[in-house]
Amino acid sequence: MSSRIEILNDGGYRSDGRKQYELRDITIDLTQQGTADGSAQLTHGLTQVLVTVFGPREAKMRSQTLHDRAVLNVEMSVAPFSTGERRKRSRADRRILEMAAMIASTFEPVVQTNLYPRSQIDIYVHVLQQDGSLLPACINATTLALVTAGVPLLDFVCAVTGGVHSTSPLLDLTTLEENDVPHMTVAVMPRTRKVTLVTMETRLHVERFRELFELACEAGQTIHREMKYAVKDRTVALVNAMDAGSKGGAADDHDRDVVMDDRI
Amino acid sequence: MPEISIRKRPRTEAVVTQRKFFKKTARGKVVKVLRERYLRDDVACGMHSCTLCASSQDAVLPSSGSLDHPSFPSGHFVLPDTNIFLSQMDLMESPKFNPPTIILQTVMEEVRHRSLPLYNRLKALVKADDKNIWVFYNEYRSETAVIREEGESPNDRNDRGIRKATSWYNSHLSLARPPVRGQSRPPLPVVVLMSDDVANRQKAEKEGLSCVSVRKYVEGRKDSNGLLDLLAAAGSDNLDPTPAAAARQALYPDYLPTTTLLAGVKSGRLHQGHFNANQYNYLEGSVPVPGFEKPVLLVGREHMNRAVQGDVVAVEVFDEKDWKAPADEVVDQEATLKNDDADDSEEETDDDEALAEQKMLRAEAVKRAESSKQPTGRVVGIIKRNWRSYVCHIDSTSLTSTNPTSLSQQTVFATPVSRLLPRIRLRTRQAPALVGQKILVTIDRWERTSRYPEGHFVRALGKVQSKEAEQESLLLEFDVPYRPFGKAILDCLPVEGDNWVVPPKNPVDPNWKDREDLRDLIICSIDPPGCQDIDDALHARRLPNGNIEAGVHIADVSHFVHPDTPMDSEAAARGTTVYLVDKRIDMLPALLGTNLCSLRPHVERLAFSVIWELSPDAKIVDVRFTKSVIASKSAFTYEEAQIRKDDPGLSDELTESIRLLNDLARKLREQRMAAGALNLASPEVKIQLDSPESSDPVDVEQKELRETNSLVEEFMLLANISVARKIQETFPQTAVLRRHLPPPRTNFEKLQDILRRRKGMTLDVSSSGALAASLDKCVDPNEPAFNTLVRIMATRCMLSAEYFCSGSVARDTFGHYGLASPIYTHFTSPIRRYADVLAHRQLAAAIGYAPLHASLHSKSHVERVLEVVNKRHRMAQMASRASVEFYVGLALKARSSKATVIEDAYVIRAFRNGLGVFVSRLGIEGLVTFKHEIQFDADNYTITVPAGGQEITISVFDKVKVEVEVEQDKNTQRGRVVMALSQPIDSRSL
Amino acid sequence: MPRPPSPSIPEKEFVYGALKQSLRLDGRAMLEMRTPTLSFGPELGWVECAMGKTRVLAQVDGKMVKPPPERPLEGIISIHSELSPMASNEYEPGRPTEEEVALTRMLDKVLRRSDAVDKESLCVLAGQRVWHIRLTIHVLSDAGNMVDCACLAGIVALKHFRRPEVEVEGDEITVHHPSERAPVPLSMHHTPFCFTFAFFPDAPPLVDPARLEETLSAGLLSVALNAQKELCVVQKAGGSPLPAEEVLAIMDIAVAKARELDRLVEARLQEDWKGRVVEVR
Repeated sequence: MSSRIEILNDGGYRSDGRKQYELRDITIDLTQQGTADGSAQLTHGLTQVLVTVFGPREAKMRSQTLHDRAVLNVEMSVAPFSTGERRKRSRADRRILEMAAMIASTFEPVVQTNLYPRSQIDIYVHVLQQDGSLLPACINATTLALVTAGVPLLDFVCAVTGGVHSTSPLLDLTTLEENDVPHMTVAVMPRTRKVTLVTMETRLHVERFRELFELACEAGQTIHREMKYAVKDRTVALVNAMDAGSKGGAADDHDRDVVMDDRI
Repeated sequence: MPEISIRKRPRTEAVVTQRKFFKKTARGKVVKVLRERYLRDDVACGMHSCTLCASSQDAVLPSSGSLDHPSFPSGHFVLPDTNIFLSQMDLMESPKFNPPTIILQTVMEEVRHRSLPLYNRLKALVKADDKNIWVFYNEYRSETAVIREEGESPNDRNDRGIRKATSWYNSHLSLARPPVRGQSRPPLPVVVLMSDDVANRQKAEKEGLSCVSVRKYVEGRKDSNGLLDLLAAAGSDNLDPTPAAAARQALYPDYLPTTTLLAGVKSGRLHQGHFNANQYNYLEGSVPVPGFEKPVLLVGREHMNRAVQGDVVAVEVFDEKDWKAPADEVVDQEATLKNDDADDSEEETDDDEALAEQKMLRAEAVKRAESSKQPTGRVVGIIKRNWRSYVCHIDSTSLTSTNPTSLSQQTVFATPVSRLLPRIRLRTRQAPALVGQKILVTIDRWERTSRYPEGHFVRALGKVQSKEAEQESLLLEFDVPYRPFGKAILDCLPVEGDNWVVPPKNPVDPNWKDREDLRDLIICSIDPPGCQDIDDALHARRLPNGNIEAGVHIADVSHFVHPDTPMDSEAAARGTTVYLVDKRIDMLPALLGTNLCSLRPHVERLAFSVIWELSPDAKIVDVRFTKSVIASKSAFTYEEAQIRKDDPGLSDELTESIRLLNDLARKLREQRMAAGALNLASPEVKIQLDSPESSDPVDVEQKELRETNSLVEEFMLLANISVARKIQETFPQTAVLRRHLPPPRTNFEKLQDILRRRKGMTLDVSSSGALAASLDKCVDPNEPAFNTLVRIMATRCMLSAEYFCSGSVARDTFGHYGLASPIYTHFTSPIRRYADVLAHRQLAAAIGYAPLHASLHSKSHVERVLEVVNKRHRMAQMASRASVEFYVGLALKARSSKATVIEDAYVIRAFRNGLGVFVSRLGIEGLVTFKHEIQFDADNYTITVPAGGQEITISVFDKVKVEVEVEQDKNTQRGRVVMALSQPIDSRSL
Repeated sequence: MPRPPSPSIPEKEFVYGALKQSLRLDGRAMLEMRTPTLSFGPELGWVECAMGKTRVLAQVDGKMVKPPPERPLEGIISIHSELSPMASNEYEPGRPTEEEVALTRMLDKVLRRSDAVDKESLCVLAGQRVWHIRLTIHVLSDAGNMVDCACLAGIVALKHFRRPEVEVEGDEITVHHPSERAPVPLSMHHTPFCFTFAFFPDAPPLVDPARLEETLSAGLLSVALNAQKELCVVQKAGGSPLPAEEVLAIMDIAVAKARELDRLVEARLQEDWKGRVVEVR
């Protein structure tokens, strides 16, 4: 089947109607989930992940605590119905363990853990649907969940995938494309424009890598804008609700908006 | 940095944008697949100066449409349905047919799904300069995207999508031109749906769309006559069969449904392979399948079941007791089927011809030898048709009226030039005008009620035997791209044109960057006489340490041909220069081939040099590669170089250099032979042309080989091997290499048997070295030419060499069997072979001269390019062989008009009613047939002919004399070589 | 379970202070690798690779198996790696630790997923018999940068290994004993090498971190590539963020290192091969 589908056709369209540098739709839902301190459900194309954050709280296992900072604990679970082929992945699946470890080490330098010594922050990542760009979706959703939980971060972490078809770079790959072209994941911190995560597991020439890498860093900025709006919207809604409760009516809504914009 | 954006998708759109389906994986699991698509508003309509679509600068459609169709006075655009491309591709490709056309993505995808060759033609069509074609990605435009409804077949969905797009276009046209107040609105052009599907047209009419069938559309045009013939048979309006036709008796069994075929092939019950027709016997074909060592034999028309040369078919193999040996008789279609009538042959099922066929098969069944049995079977289905356009002649006897002014439609037979194809039934109005011409015909279909396939006329090539027609038909037959180079391609040449020179030495000049200055070296080139594209030159000199420095300098084509330019893609598509006897079809524009890249003497040229340090016994001490600037001191022909070398009076540097090279070449050759390289032979003759203008062949002579030929050859081999090593080392995944696989042993069985029985000789085929040694022993002291003959026959048993990408095959299959080299590539003729250009680029990158273009890092890209080059290479060889044959025919004709031509010949095959002979002086093979009964001993490859009381025995490898003449077929005007035995016995009386 | 003691604060500050002046504890320059020492065992495919005090043993063996039905035309390559407490006092038996997961995944990506070995050439008889090549990695001692050392040991072992020659006639498979016919090397597509770089606040990046440097580093970046400049794996999972240019600069360093290492490995392999007498009767 996949051989019948052109990854990039002569008109410059990809198999789902996007052009080379277009990312898929991103929908962010930041509503509270149960008792979690923070949560985010992120739908990126057909990839959907839910991240809930608990903490900072007292560590369950005393032996795991660190005296000078908080411990990040990432647990990842993949729903068996998330792919076309229904398959249960065990928690000890190395791929999942590795991904969880990658998420943990990505956020360790970003979360200001030194503010919470001897405590632990639990991040639970649930993958509900997969269609490519799984790691970026998890990372972006984790950023958002940490933000909603009120955990102090140095910056956003925005991740995106990129691939090279023959000689043309593509951004934000679907599963179909990931199976076909060499690809990589890049996570950037938009304010400093620094890169916190790069992974690539397929063979690619250095020159191609360079080109794609730079492009992906740029795409991170675009994703950041999207995430920023979502956080802003939620905050504005919260502030409005608070205002409505206390004063009834928000006269200086607009100003707050600007203030929020500055901070994020 | 390009603009990066996020495509937003309204939540409500989910129904349209997501698609769920189930598919079965290779492992047999059923998997749910969910896909989405993004609908957009920026898919351009392609009209010039469209006010609504932003990107109209690359639009190709004139804004007012085409005004020259009388039915659509206000201008129109054509929007063809899928079935138009599936059955009327020839019409669409005709240069005369170019209304502004809109091709929908839906149509493109449907064509791609149905037939890849057609899709490729369609893609080429879209890119063609002289067509006004715009591809509209309707599935991605929000207004025109459709989803499959409950209970709707995919076909209906597509039809609906096409109609929706048509109606969108029409409303888009009116929106783009809003009426100006106070002015009457000018009539708008219409977008016309062209479809041969009656149901689709009816629905379209109901929706108020203008639509038309192809035939109606073409008939309505002013220049309809020429185009009507291009219409495929399926294009007639009455698609449902007439009652008479329905009642016709089926001549062939029905094909099994595709699913059954695929399941059968998978389960091993059926076998899949390419159908090969037998060129000696039209009632027999074979299909090599992986399941059996020998190809499956298909005997009789019914068992071949409408398969045409090259089709991929599924065959069912019969029980072993029904297995047979291939026929040892020559059955000529034309002779047997002379009386078949084109118009109504299908109505007489028990006509003479069918009876004759049955008789023939019965007779054969008895006589078939027991020994060489082959599996037999029948075709039960076609997996993929490989029909294309064929060069044919009209069979004049099949004409009902020869009145040249008659415009009535007739059904005639077209006989393909290739003996491997069946006759094609053709309906045309211009039959009388086509008699005596070469024409191009496409097969459209082959009904099971029809003995012959049906086709349609594409175009005429010219008079039979006229050089232009013969040449073009040859090029078409072998699919050689011969169009002139387009402007975009010529624009890639240096602007200085013929006046381009190597600039004065200057290290910062890009032409001189990293180049070595080798202008002082004594370099010369050695080529065949009249060679214009000199792509190699050589030098050699003694070094102070006693070793010898030898260099091969190759034209630096990659300096001029840059990747990803129109010139590069054209060269890649052509793959190779094709040499015909009187014409050369260049791969690169002549300015490069014969001037800027040609290493002409006394001119400074850019080169890519391979320089070795060789020990006196021709062992490589060191090798280096460098881009360079050279100035050749002389351009010799092989003969001149030979004479110079042998002239003891000369001892200048140039002569010494040639002697040195020759000395080394001899040692290199010895080393190569010791390693087991084969010394092969193929019948090569040379056509002597009277003068270049008239190009009338005067005579045929065999090519003469001199020592200097081998000198050049050895160094080219050495260069190719050294380069192959280097690029494979540097780019293990994508290096462009060439290999020659060892032939399977079974290929030699027949030849080994013949040799053993006839001459008592053995052929050891265990390795190339063993084969070379045993070939050397196949000598008949009385017949000096015998050894060459055996070599020619052995060569035919081998596989052909091919280009490949180093990452796509296992490392242990890199070897070149014929050259006995573990690794090989083509580097030395970049002017005329595209693979060499790629090798140049890779070598340049390997030595750090220039970065490697990204496409050469992509394994799939290299594979794709090499696949084309391999095909072109094969076709080019066949084309040049055919060209030689044509001229041999002309020469023979000229000679036989003066006196009977009698030539020595060797028997190479024996049939029950004839002999296959090889005339080495002419390099042609022919057939001697006997009309009367003769005795045939299949086991000993011998026939016995009764001649006036005594009996004469002729066996394979016997030397005979044959009379050769060219006979013109009365019906088809096709000239063909006819041979008759004149010694030891005159066969014409038999 | 007592956690292993983390480096003490003075130790940490000393290392940071030294690195700021581009000085390393073992006296190397920042971009200097510990030269790997390769020693080959008596058997083909038995390689011990040492980088400083880090030592890894790799061993390859092959046997014939029936291929899984979905890949009838390809051989199988499997990699086993184990971190035993023997390597360092930080490892414990039992549930795979994070280091162990990282090592296994990296070996898998560098040696298997990068297509280093031509799997198709390992097919003997389609659907019936293919070679199963097993690579076992034992970490003997971990004194830093175990991953690079293991990858190097693994790839050299694969290159060093020779499998017995096989002949197929119809359905009959004959395996020739090494003494009968010279065993054949595995067909390799390319030779990837892995390089790990470590980052520290306010100090230039360094290559091939020692144990202490590894633990104290603010981030690690591993690159696997071959001498033909083709990247196979790039992995920087978190750690301190880097500017994009620095990542690209590291790629260029890795390219040069890969070339160097490729030469060294080829030379060592040739040297070893010369010393071996292959007896063919």
